[in-house]
Amino acid sequence: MSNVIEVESVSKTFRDFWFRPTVKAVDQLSFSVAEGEVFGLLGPNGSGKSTTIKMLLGLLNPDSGNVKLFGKSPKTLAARSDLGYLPELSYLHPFLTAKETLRYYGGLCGLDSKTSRRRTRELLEMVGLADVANRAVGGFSKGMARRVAFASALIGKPRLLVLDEPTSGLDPVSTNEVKTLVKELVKGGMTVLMTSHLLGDAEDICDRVVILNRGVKVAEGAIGELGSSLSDFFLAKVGEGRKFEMAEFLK
Amino acid sequence: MFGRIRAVIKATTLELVSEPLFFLLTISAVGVLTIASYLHVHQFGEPSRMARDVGLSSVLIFGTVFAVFSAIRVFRREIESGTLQMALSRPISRELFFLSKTAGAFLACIVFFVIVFSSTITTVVGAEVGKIHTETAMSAASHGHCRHDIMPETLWFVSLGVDACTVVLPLVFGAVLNRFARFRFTTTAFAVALVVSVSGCFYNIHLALVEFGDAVSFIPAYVKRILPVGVLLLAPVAVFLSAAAALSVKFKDNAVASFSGLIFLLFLPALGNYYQTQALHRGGDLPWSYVVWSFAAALPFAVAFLLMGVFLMRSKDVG
Repeated sequence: MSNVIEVESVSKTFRDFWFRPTVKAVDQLSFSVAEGEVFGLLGPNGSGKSTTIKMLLGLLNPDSGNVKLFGKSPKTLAARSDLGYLPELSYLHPFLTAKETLRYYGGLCGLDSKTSRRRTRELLEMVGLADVANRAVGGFSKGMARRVAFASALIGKPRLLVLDEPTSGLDPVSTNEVKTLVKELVKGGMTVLMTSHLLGDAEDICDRVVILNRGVKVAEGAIGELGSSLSDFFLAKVGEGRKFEMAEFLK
Repeated sequence: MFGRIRAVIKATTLELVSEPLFFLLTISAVGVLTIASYLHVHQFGEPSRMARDVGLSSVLIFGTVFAVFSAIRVFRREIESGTLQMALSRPISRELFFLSKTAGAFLACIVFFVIVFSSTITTVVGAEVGKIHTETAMSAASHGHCRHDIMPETLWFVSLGVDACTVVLPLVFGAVLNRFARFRFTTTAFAVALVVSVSGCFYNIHLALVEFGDAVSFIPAYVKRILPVGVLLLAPVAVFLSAAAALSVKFKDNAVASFSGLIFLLFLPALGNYYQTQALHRGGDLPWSYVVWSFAAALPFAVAFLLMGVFLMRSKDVG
């Protein structure tokens, strides 16, 4: 199986207006994602997961290292043609209706009018929003907005789906719906890269994971290889440093 | 590629015509024009000049404000709301996205321009007809027909009605269609304002010609003379829009507004070349070749700002 994603020794430091370094978000990170697998990028808040995702999407420029999507730079249009992205928050235009939102992203994906209309109809049915297709998304609940964002990630029939904290803030029913949908998509041949700090969700869906802490990879492997409990493994790897900091703070 | 451009332009224009602030700006321009033209004491016997100059000034000043705030709105909102991440994760280049958004904002400026310029023409025609009314009444009075009640009619009631409808009807239709058919209020209001202003302008001219015949036969030619002067104003508006669009990629709202104000002041001496109402005074004409060359002169500035914007967008870390 070929690798859909290849990340090689990537680093990223954020700088202020005067180009002074402020935060080293990612430090010499390397991993790869094979076609057809569900890959998890795990870590506590501020570990560099979202930064890594954004470098994969070409939204951020890595300071060093290489990122490849389907063997190409994420800056190229060809690499992003087969990509669907669901960010951590559902960034939607509040004045557009659900239908218009999907048509807009369909247009950005280069779909012709007919295909865009058909895909919009299918996806709204799939996410259960066909009845509110003509309502502005500004008036949607969080769960509904998330579903629109999910549908917009799928509008271009991507081969790779990148999900940034897909279940964050969702109720248990919606969380289960997302997990079921992801599993269905993977059965259909899609590759999924997801980030999460919710270890239970990662255990349910992911085949392999990388665990980040403060921008550094601390572990990588298949779910079964990392011990009987991912959360214990995670706390062991990530929690030590935090305990040390807390002890110092309390002195 | 054209599908992507169309998608971005459509969403951008829709965003701006859905924005109450921009609708308020547009009907304020029409309102100022109508009120100013009806103020007898400021006209010094030249009511249509007042209407024309106030109208064209409104197009330039309100139009510049509209352009700058449109650019700030479309770019800063994309960046701060996070929708830029969603858009740029798709197979669309940053350059194309930036240029398409700027084009969408310019299209909204064109809508503004058409509404305010049509209202200007309506008010100018109304002022000319009003002048004829006054002269006729005063002539009748001077021939012994006692008219103690002569008031200088500086604006024909039909023109006043069309201008008032340009302000009121959009609000009414917008409210009714929003209430009963769930149409977007501001978008509907903009569309109605566009239809009323343009059709009202043509209706106004047609009715004037029908009712007053030879006395107003000069009006179509006069309107044709005003047209190039109005179109010329789109050039500085386009330059300010490009500047604000480029700056909005890098800086926040207040900084962009301040920089745009500074650019306005720097270009103020040159703006005189684009505000050519004097060409119309005393029967002058502004040739279309002047308009074309003026656009050509403004083009390098607009292109420079657009290139700056493309460069800033290309190198920007998003998210």
